[in-house]
Order: sequence, then structure tokens, then C-alpha cells
Amino acid sequence: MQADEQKAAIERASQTLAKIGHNPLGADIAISDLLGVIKNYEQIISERDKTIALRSAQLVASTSNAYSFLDSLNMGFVMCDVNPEVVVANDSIRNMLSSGLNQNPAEMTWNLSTLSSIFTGFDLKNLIQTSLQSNQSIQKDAVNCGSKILQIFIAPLTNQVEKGNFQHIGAVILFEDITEKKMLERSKDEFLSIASHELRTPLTAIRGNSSMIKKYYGAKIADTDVAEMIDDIHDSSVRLIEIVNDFLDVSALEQGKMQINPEDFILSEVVADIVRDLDNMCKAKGVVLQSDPTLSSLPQVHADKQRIKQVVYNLIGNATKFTDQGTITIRAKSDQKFAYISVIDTGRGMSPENQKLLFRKFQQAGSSILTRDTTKGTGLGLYISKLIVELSGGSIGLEYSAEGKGSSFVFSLPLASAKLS
Amino acid sequence: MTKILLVEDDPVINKMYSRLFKLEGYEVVVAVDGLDGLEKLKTFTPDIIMLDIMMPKMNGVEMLGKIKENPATQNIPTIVLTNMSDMRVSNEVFAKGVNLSIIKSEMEPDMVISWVKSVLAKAEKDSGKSIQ
Repeated sequence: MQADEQKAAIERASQTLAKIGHNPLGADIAISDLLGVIKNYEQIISERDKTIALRSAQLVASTSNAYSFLDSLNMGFVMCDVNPEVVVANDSIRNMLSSGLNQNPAEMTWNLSTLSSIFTGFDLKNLIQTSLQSNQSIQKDAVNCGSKILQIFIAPLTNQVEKGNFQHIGAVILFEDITEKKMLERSKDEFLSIASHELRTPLTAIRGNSSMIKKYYGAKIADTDVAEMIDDIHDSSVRLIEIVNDFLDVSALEQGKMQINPEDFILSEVVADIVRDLDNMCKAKGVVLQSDPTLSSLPQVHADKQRIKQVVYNLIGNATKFTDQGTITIRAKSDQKFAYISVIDTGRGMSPENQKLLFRKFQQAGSSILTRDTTKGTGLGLYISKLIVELSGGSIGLEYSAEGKGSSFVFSLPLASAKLS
Repeated sequence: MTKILLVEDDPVINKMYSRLFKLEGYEVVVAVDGLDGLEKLKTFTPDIIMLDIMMPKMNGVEMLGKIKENPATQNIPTIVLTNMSDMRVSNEVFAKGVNLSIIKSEMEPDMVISWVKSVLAKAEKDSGKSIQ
């Protein structure tokens, strides 16, 4: 009923009363008028009652829809007010926690203190308050709850009171059961170490035995073809071992499981070792492998010595593969925080298209997957080097490359002196 | 003649190393796991012990511990064979006093022989005793 309708009705009632007051003879007419107004009001009230009933029913329906929607969610859903205290807790969270703790859900109380006490080493109430105060959502990645592992996400809820003015009405907490995902990760780990043992053992036997045949029974092998075949068996086993090592390195790096033991060390010593190892191969090709004096004056770097040796070996090894004449030079410089080491060759160089493929998994800089030079390794070397260098707090990249002229690769490592800042 | 106790559970690897040492003129006694190794040590005193890490019944780390606890065997130099996946174990074995750790898959026979010889030479120097 509109406000003006009400106003009109009241007008009529007071006019009628006024009439009675002024003219007692017109009382009958006035009273029947009043009765009419009252009946009008009765109708209005009855209509309003029906509307209220309808709205109530609609509200109950949408609330129970909301509840059944919440209960059907796979995730645990808890809503709390600003105190904070639990307002809504869906079926999933009740099931998750009761099965994780091996308790009957009917026997558990669902208030914030109980919920908080369920998680060890983790204060849920505190975290909700922090989320509300900072108006930021918070995520906790692996929280233990009895036999289950959960991921918890807290988000503050706000209501727009008036334009631009927000008010906190509480928080929503989502719980995801990641127990299976974590178990899968653990079994991936075990697979990695079992696979590594399994693959390496027969490879060790092939490598060792073929080597021993050459060394101790070489005189018995009159046939040069047989000697050559044994050489091939040996070389293949060495290559296979390198490939297995590469695969396992990639696995470990991608899963964040590679063990890194950083220390302060002098890089020029590491480079000198590698130069010594690869010198013969370069000399055989007529290539000069040299390190620049700038390398010996480099201050100490802070990284895992063995892993950086692997990176330097990869870069110089690559340069050796792709350079048939001229020089391979290792040069260094530094600033306040980093050491920068370049490996510069006068080799074949790469086209711009091939340069784009560098540092990616398995992609040797080549045009088609069929046109692969399989004698040149798995193509994982640069990818592994990139992951190792980045894990060490540095970066790696191609400085330049030109076909027929050569290439220069550079990587950076944090200085030992910089780590305290 | 240099005496070596070889403790390795994989039959192919076991055979390979024992053949290598025999070809180099060593006297070789083999054991197939940590327990067997300790048993053999009761009647055989080697100049050097070479042991694998991953073995059934008693692994290399445990056996190394037992060797070092026994006054009769604690001064015998030891070389541990790893397969890289058990690199995490490295610190543990060095803490127990192993002389050297070799990665099996990186091995060429002459490298193994020169390592054994250098460990023996150093032990000889340290103890003042001569080993034929």
C-alpha cells in the first residue's frame, strides 16, 4: 500500500470524525464511513500478511538452496563473523575433520575454539583476525589434521555500506583435502630414487665390464672389428649414464628437490679444472681453449661448487662441440653484487630462429625434430644449467650469436661479499 | 698380496669388482650384505674394505658403524660405493670415518684401482706399517 493511499485513508477518517463532531445527525453516515475505512485497512493487512508469507517462504527456499549448495561443495566451507565466531560450517568440513581425527561428527562442537585447537602448530583464530585486519586473503599450503593434509584459504568478507564505504562482515575459510596429492608427490620421490638405482646398476656393469675387457683382455682380441665393437659398447654405456644423470637432474630441479650446498669459492679454480679436461679435445680440433686474466682476479662467489662446475662444463663443452677453428675464451667481470662469466667462441653461431629455442627442455637449436644431431647430447644441458644458476640466485643467457662468426653465453652468480646485505 | 673385503649385494657388480681386483693381483673375499660382511671379518682381516650402501639385511651405513665400533676392525681403511641417489647419505658416512666415497656409475677400472692404491698408501703412511 502506498504512503499516499495511507495518507488519503487517514484524511477520510479524520474528516469523518470531524463530521461526527460537528453534526450529530450525520453520525450514522460517519460511522458507516469509518467502518468502511477499517475494512479497507483489514484488506490491506491481509494482503500484506500474504506478501510476508510469500517473502518468508522465498527466503527459506533460497537459504536452504544456499545451504544445500554449500553442503554439496567438495571443499570445506566455514563462514565466521567479525568476532570471529563460526556462523556456517558445511558438511564437507565436518566430514574432513571428523574423519581426519577419527571422531564422530555428531560428538564434535563446531565453534572457533574447537576448530583452532584441531590444527597443531597453526593458530586459525589468529590467522582469521590477521586476514580481517589487513583485509588480505591468506593461504596455508600444508596443514596437518590427524591423518589428513589440508590446504587452507582465508578471505575477508566485506559489505558495501554506502558508496565507497566498506564494512567487514566476517571471513570465509576454505579447506581443501590435499592428502592424496601429497602422497602422490611422495611416491614420485621414491620412484625417482628407486629408478635411479635400478637404471644405474646395469649401466655400471656394462661400462665397467667393457672397460675391463679392453684393458685386461685386449691382447686376446686379435680382430680389430671386435675391439671396435667393444669400444662402441663402452662409449654407449657412458652416454647412457650421462643421459640418465641428465633426466634425474631435470626431475630433481623441476620438483625443487635438488640438494644445493652453497659455499664461498674461487671460480677460476673450477674453470681451470674444466679447461684441463677439455684441452686435448680442443687441441685435436685446432681450437685454442683459454681463460682470460679477468677470471683470476674475480672475487669469491657464493654457490654450490659441484653444481656450478656442471654449468661451466656444459657451456664450455657446448662451445667445444660447435667450434671447429679459432678460440674459446672464458672471461669475467663483477659489480657490487654479482660476478658475470662469459664463454665466448668463434664457432658456427646460430640463426635468430634457433636462438629462440635455447634454454628450453629437449630443444637443441635445430629446425625440425627429425633433423636432430643425436650425437650432440640430449639437449637438456642448457635447461639444467638455467635451473641451477637461477636456483643459485643468478641468471643465464645468450649475449650474442651470429652465424659463421660465433656465440657468447653469460651467467651471473652472487658474490660471497654480497650475501650479507 | 693386498687383501680386500668386497661387500656388494648385486651379483653382477659383485662379480665385476672381484674380477677387477683378482686381475690386479689382490686376494679378494666377497660378502653379499652387511651381516655377511661382519661374519667374514671374524676370520679374515683385509687391508681395505670396499662396501656398497644399499644392501638388504644390513646396509652399508650400519655395517660401517659396526666396523668402527670394533677395535679389531676400526683402523682398516674403508671405501664406500654409492649410486648417486644415496648422495644424501654422504655426510653420514664421512662422519663415521670412511676414507673415500666412489660413485659406481662414474667408474672406470683404472680409476678404482688408483683410488684403492692411494687410500692404502695414505693409511700406510699414517700407521707406519708396510702393506705388501
